[in-house]
Amino acid sequence: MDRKKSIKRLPDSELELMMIIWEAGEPVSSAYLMERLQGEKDWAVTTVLNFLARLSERGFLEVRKQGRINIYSPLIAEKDYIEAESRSFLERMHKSSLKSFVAALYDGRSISAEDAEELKRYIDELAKGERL
Amino acid sequence: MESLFFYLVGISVTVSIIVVLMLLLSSYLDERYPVKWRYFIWLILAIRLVIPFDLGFAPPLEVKLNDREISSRFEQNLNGTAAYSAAGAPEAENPIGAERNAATDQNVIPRGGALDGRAEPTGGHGADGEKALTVSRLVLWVYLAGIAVFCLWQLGLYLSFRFAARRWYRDVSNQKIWEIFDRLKTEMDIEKDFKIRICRKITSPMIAGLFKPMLLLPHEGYQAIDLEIILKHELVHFKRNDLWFKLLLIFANALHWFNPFIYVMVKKANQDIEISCDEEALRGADLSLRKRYSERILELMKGNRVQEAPVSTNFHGGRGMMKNRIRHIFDDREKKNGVASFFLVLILIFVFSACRFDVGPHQWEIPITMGTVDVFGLDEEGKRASYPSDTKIEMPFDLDGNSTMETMFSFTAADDGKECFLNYHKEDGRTVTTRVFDGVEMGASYSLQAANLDGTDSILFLAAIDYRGMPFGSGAWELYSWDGNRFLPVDMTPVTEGVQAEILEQSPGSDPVLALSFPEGRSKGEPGVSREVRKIPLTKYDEEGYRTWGQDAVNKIMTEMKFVSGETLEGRGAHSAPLLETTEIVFITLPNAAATVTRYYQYEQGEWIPVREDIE
Repeated sequence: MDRKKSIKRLPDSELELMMIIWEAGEPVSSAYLMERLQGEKDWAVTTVLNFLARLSERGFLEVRKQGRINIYSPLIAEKDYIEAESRSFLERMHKSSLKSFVAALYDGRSISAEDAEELKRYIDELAKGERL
Repeated sequence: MESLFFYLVGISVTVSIIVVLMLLLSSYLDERYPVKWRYFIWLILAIRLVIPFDLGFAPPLEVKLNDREISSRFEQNLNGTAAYSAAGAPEAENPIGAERNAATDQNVIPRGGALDGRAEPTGGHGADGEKALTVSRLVLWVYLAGIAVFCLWQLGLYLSFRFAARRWYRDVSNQKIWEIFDRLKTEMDIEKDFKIRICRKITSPMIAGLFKPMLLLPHEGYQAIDLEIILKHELVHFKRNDLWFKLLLIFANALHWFNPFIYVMVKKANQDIEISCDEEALRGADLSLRKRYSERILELMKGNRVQEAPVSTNFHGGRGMMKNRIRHIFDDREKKNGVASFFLVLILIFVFSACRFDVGPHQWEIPITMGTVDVFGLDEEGKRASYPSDTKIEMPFDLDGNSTMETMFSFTAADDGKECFLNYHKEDGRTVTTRVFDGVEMGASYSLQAANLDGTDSILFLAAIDYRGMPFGSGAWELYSWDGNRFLPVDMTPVTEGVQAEILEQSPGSDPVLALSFPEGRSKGEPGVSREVRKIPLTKYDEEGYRTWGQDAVNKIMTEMKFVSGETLEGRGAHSAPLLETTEIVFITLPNAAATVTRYYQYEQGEWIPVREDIE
């Protein structure tokens, strides 16, 4: 928990790289990243390497040498990062405004595990046509 | 402007009544009618909330509130001292405190012949020309500030969300999403181009953006059957313009931020938007699809929990609301359209829409009115005889415009005029009385005049004593403004001190002339710049008087004050509001007047504005 709290907010460009790495679901090379970035960002290889170096300095990436190429794997899970970012007061407040400005499938508050269980049972009952 | 807020309060109250009715009847309505009707009722209520006007469908149930000036006491003191310093040197040795006491007392108008004596300054109602700080104006400012805070808060949060989410946007790589989305669009007859973005940041699929709608999905790993439900739900929102509805709700909420019922209403409306959207999206769906649909929503609720554990663990409000929504999802019974009850609510809204609270400027329009009473006259033998029984002037008015003379004012001169009162007789039988002409010499005849001198939000009463002085006549006058409840003395110093007369010798050896000038200072008490108007040659007798007495030979006497219609003046000075006409005689040796000055004043927000002088 403490480690999660210390997660710092990433700048946009570094987040962009992290999102590709998280999405890949496995350790990736810089060549893979360059390929994925094609058509979206026209960053030079040196720029990307620069960002990767900074990400590993921040403790987001682990770098392993495989022959002559570097292989990057995430040290912080996407879920943990999103959670850390969403912990700020401002982002928590976003939820309250969302109700008024977007049409979402569900934009209410979350519920506790017990409540979720109860609702699940309720759905099952209704699905069997028992109540109503 | 102030009344805008009170209109909105009226609307707020009436809509609140309907909101409460809707909540009380919600289970009844739920059983019988589709949620769609509630959806429309919320829509109508929201529209009603943002129209700050009387729709005029029914006679207004008016609640009239009396406005008050918060700072009148303060300004009264201020005026008192200001007029004191302006009244000038003659009273300079008076301590200020004493002068102020005098100011809060009665307004004593100098009687004829004593015009250069002291005039006691009195701060009257609205005597300050500046806009006074009234309760309604203060309330208005607080209200407007509340709207600003509410809007900035809501909009700021939303924009900050869009900003925080933007950097997480990814393009859709799952082509199935586009396929299903485009098919649904064709089925539902939607032509608008959408962007679809994946955003890991959000927890629920959503549509955002009023003009350039964007579909946001938290991930793209949905099964085809789930995609179908999710996308259909969002497209139903879009098709029904729910984003605009939500914007309308938030705007209504902003205008009525002070009313807790409106928050409840907005919350309920947002819930019903969802439920009726489910209703629409699931039309004709079978039980298994309904089950799947509710399970997806339940997943979203659970998904939320991971991210905001610290604030919401003890929040249980979601369960009941959710149960309700799930119940509706499974409710596929055919329900009657609630046309009848819908129109009932519509009628209620229109009936109640006319209820309003009104505050601020009264509208009293009265003609210029005058009544006179003699307190004594001469009997057959030419001796003085008093008329003790007949010393009352009554003035009934129809102030509320319903053709009954319901408002009664009167002037009484008791004990041969030693004690005079101005009275307002309330409808409940009580009387508001103000002593007038306190300490002023009794006269032969008393009169009372009334006019809307200062617009229709007050009535001014001019009480006059006629001394029947020879040879020009003389009198005493006091002016009171009526604010709906009380009589407030009005300062007439600028009127009584309006003319300055002195004898000038233009060059040694030439004939002296009488010079009349009119200081331009108004009620604020500034001496102002003298505007020399007329030089009048002196008669032989007058010149003699001047040689003997110097400037002391010049005398002024106010002989008449009355309200006149501004329209009777032609050319310069013609005016739509009534004016005060004063006649002042300047003389040096009796019995001839050197000049007769007739002046016309407009009275506006405590200021006397001279509009014309006629000099003979």
